[in-house]
Amino acid sequence: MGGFIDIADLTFRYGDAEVLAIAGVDLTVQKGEFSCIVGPSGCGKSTLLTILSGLAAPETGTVTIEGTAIYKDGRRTDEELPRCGYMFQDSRLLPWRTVRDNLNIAMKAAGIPEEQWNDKLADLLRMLRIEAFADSWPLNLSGGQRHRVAIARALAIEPAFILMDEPFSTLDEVTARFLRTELLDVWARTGTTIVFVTHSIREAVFLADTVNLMTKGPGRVFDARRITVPRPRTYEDPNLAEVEGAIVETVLEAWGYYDQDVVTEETAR
Amino acid sequence: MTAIRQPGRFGLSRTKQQWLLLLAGILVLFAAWSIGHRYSRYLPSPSTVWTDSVHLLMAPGTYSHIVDSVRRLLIGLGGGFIAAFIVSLLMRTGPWLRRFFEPYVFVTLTIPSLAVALFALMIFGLSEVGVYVSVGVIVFPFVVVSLNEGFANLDASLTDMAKVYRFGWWQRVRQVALPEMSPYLFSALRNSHALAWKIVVITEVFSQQTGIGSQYKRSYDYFQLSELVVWVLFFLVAVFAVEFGVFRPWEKRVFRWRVARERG
Repeated sequence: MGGFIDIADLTFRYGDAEVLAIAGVDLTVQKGEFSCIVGPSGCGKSTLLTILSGLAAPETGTVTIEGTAIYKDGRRTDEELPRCGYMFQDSRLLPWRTVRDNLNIAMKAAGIPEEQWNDKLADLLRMLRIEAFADSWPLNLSGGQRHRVAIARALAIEPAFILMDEPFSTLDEVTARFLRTELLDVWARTGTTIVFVTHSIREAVFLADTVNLMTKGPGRVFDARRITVPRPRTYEDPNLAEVEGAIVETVLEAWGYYDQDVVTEETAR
Repeated sequence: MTAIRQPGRFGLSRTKQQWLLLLAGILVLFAAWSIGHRYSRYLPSPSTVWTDSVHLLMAPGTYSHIVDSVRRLLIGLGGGFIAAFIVSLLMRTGPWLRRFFEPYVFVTLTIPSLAVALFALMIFGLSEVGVYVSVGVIVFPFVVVSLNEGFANLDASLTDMAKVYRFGWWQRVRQVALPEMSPYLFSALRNSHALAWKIVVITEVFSQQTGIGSQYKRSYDYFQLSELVVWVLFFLVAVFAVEFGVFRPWEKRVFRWRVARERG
């Protein structure tokens, strides 16, 4: 406890489902930290982000952000949720509005004064190297460019933190690598706290200060690894490969892959 | 990849072929009209209609009749759309209101247009309000059905995005829901537009002293068949003018982001 985001004993279930989607998640994210959450499909890592963004309410547990309890014992408190940027798996831009309008609409909703919009837009688009596309329709952009616009939108609202739900999983690997580097560059410049969900351990160790490992669903965080490999990192760095190998070893056991092998061998006999 | 343009039949482009076919269709119509005039007692000749058209086009009163009809059409259509939008929204709020409004949709969908015009005449007398109500009532169910379909197909992922980024209710309607539902709104507009014109002239025949419908009635009363044909032609021109002068450019503007995709 005592972090920027503190989650304690969080559980959630969809509707009247018998099985919980997440069961007893404890997690701490420090201010300005790049925190990754890694887990197998169906472990509830995306559900965790929907709770943090205010889209869904937990069944039990407490969420505290910047020292203010947002959920207490499963109940929403009267405190306002700090403004958060959200990057979904797809860019989720409004296709009928230009890049400029997409950002302006988000800034308007966030209450950013209108006289700041132009400067902010110009800065962000320049930072993400998409300034030439300010007046383009999203459908005229490539997948990578659309993701950059989505990053710009998340930053434009001056968020207290940004949530990212496997944002690069739909892109080809070369584009994804390029965007990861750009994201780290933007993160270093802005110092924003980022909670990044992924199923890729390699992606997590490349990006994160801390990698939080979740169990199979209904998930909980069973390990939090501090990644001490210095930045800037490269994918070829043997230290990074070593950290990745150690995490893979841990999750193979935690996610029950070794047990499955035993079962398979026994069945084969 | 650049598409290779294939020459059509007779070495003409597709557009030229289409224009030629349209011209041929009009020529055949004129030929049939001339033959009909020659072998019937009442059908006026194309030249008589042309003379009457020029005569009516010179009269300033003609334009005020057309403007009156267009005004009634736009107010009636607008009223029908607004009523349908409100009812469709209410029907979304839960099964109670949906069941409450379903009979209204069913009744207005099946009731004959002529009966609606007569009801309006009886209730509103010679007032122009009767025309608005008739058009609104006839248009209403078509729009509700289209909007219900549009609401059912709203993209939940964009709604989530709007919630996370804290769009206000008006931003959600203006920036997300309305553009998403535009295809359904324009489909409803296209379906109901021609229908609304017909209702306007029917109610004008019964209850108005001005407007295209009133001129049908006048031509009928004086048995001026040539003038009746001229007013039918003016009616067609007015319908096409609103369709191609207002709705098509509007639709093109609203969906310009899609054209971008087709190019890309």
